[in-house]
Amino acid sequence: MKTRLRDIVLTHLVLLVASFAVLYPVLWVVRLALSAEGGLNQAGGEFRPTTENFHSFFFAHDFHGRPLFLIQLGNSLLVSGTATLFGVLCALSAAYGFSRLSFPLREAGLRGMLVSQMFPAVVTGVPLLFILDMLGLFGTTAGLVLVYATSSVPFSIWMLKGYFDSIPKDLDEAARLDGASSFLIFRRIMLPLVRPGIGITALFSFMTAYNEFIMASLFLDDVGDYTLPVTLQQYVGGFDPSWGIFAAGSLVLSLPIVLLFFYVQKQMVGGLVAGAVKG
Amino acid sequence: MSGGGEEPTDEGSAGAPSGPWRWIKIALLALLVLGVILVRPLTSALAPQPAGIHVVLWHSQRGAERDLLEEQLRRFNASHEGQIVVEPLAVPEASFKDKVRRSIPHGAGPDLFIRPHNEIGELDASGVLARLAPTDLPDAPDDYVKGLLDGVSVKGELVGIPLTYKGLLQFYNKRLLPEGPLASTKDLAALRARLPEKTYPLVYDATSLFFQSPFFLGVGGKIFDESGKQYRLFDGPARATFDWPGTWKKTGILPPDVSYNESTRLFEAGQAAVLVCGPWYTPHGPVDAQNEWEIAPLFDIGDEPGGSFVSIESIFVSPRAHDRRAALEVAQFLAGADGQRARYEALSLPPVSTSLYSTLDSLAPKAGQRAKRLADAQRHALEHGVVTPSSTRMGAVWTPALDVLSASVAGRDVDKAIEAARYTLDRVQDEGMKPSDPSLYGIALVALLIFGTMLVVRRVRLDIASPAAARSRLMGSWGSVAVPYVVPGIATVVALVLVPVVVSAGMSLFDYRGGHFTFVGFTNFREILLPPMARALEARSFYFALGVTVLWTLVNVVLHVAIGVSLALLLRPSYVRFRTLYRLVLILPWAIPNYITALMWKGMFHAQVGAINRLLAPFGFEGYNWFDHFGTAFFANVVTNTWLGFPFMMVVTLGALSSIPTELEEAATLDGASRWHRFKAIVLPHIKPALLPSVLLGSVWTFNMFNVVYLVSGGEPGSQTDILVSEAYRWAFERGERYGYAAAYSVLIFVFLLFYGRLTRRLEAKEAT
Repeated sequence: MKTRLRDIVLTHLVLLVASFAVLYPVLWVVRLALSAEGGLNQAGGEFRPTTENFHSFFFAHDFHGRPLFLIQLGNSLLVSGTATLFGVLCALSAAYGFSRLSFPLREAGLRGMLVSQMFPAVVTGVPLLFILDMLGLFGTTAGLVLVYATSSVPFSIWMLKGYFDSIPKDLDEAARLDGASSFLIFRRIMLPLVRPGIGITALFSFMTAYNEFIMASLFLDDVGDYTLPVTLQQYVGGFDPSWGIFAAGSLVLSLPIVLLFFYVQKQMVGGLVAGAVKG
Repeated sequence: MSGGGEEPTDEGSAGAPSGPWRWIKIALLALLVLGVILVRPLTSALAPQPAGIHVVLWHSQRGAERDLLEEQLRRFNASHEGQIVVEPLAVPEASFKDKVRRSIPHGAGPDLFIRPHNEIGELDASGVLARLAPTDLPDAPDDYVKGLLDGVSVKGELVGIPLTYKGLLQFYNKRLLPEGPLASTKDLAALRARLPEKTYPLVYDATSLFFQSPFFLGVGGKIFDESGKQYRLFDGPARATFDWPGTWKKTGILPPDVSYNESTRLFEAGQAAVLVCGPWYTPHGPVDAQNEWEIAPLFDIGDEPGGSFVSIESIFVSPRAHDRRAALEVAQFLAGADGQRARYEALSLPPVSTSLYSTLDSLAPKAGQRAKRLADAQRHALEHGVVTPSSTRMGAVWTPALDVLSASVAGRDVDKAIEAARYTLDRVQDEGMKPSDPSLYGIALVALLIFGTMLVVRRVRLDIASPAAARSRLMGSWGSVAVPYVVPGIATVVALVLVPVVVSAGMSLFDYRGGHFTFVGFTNFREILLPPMARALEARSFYFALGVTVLWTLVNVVLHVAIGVSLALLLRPSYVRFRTLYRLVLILPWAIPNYITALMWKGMFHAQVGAINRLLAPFGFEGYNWFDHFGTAFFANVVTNTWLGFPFMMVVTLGALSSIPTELEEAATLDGASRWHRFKAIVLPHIKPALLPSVLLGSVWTFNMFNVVYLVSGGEPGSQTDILVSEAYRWAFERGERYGYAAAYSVLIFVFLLFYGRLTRRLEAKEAT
């Protein structure tokens, strides 16, 4: 068929162009990361790969000679991990409750949660500043965890409620008719079934915190407390940007996230859309 | 991951893998947790904190200055081992002021900080400067170069210790100017005619009032009138100097891109005859390799000798310093004769005590003869210029001046820009907002609370009486059963989400100035929602930002859906090979953290480094600054956000497409339905239900897309591309802590989103029936 050949060629052409548009910036960053810092300005300069940018990124150290990358990686993991753990733990039973039990104001609570999801975190910076100050947590890692928890808790409730909703109601209703208590149902039937959902929720919540930079740069004062995104942004935020080191750092920081993303993305789309629609 | 089977794994089919995998997973997870828990103790064990009184010193110095400072501090720490430990922290220049003002009153932040003196008016208003006695100075007060101590005083009280001072001077290219430095601005036109193309007579950061100051001051410009209260920035002969950068750019005296980085780059490449810059700068590159540059005092402006704003690099003590004595000791060490000498020798920075000037010849600076010339050029700048005014009012001048100069450089209407700047300055002149009587608001609040409680009670009643409740009562899943499950979660959400929202709403009724809240009622809202007519359509006004936000959201969502759906449709036909590969590549933008994407595209659009300009170089885009004009800056933002946003729509569409039974379409094809008809009759009805919620979700994401706007265009030019969310952020954290005003912005954003949420729920409900 004639039309079919034309279709195939055209389709591939468009897809190739789109793939090129997606890959070009990424490859540009790779090239930047492998270029010597001084060689950026010369347009026609020969490209000689070097790892010096990666070296500067990994082996940056502070005034006392402490390894900044390691410390900040630790901070990032600590902050995101704690916020995630806190969020999921708070959310597990609440999500179950919202999904399976009824109580007055359930609908209103769900709606409120949705609205809070829509509300951007940056804008809550002002009140959080004063609340943290009151609690004596300004400029501390614990303070940042609290800030991240403000979005991780409602997010986890939403996501997990979606997963609980996807379990057929007959299952727990049958158990209930058999006389199982609601805790037994929650613990023995529901929890094992939503385990994949818990994993996805935790991963997604972790990635959100791990990728956050503006609140961290607002609330942290000491390089020893910084998370990695803050450092990365500062490489290109000032008067004399180091694009090479930024490029190396962004590759290092994105790679695990990209891999994780590819690992969970199928489930994530479903959960996200389902979570945001229902209610 | 190929075409079919896009349904989320609902039934836990992927759950609980058996055998060794499970244990490997658990072990990995445990290892990770252990690592995270141990990383802090481990790293601090690797490099233990030294003992002694800790003095935290903030600065924003870079390059050689930072190296020297850290070396000096290391020396200090070595000689005070066990007693005092100084810890320097480099804070980014742009956020320094707000960060100091924010943290010191909260008991956090530095004991000492190094800053140019020109912000002390504002800093002092926030109470972050300790008063100093003349005896705290390392040198005798009358030994300081004239004008310096006045510069670091507020209302006659000393608040800082001068380290050095910096004025502007000219760097000139000896090859292009064989007969010596530029003598006067009158010679610029002749020089333009003589120099080859792509080589410029003059380069400097023409959008900054600081670098523009030689011209401004040279024609007799004044920032204030005699009383120091009224702005005279755009009055008299100085008005014309704001046109100069634009005219010069048009006539080729200035290069197309006048940014600081591009100016120094051109000079270093030997493509500029004269660079106006400060002592912190040393040329590198070809011009240095061939030893073609030299330093001279500023040229004359017309017939008047050129001076500039001079900023005094000083060290300040926090009033909440943990140990004032130790902090002062560090300050005196840095500001004393040894420190001054070290700065002169290593960086050619002029000393602040007159007695040192006579000994300069006996010192052996690294820069040789140049150091002396540098010091002399700075004194020239101070003699014919002024110490930059440091009052609170001065702090308000820079941004409006930057807007006007940017307009001039970009070829926009300077008069219009000046009008906008005047408006901003007028706003500074009125002293705060008038306090309001809270009693009326108190009554309103009580009424509101009663009304709210009634609403809640009504809702509870309705919920209890609802048929759903009756059903769950039968099932035994009603009421008190739920308490242990939902109460902890709800309590956390209330504490973490509701409390900040309520605090925010409360703050929107206050005006925050210099560390104090004043109750002003709805004044913030009135200022935001009812600005003067002329102002309503300018950047930094609510309506302008709202317009930009709506446009931003619309354009992005349309592009996301159009591109996402098209690509998904193209990926679907059975004849498409490498489908998995394409799909993997095409969702990559979604996988990359969006702040990295934003910074990456900022780099792509960068005037010099960027790949876009290099790609478009054949069309004359070399060195083109995308962030000079609203259109191009907005375009850059949209490109970035589209790049990172379309994969979501694509994936959602792919999922919906996979649910269309192939027989349906085959039948339609056999019936002779055209492609468009098939799309309309079969495909569209199938993807619409999935797409609608995604579009609503995507529009909220885009509405809130702070990262892209903040990181790519940064609001340039002059906050025109800022959306509501980034505006709210800037009012709070970058435009002098207008917390109340920013909180009012948040409330408005909240209300807007609430209405949008309502609207979309209606829409969805209608779609469902």
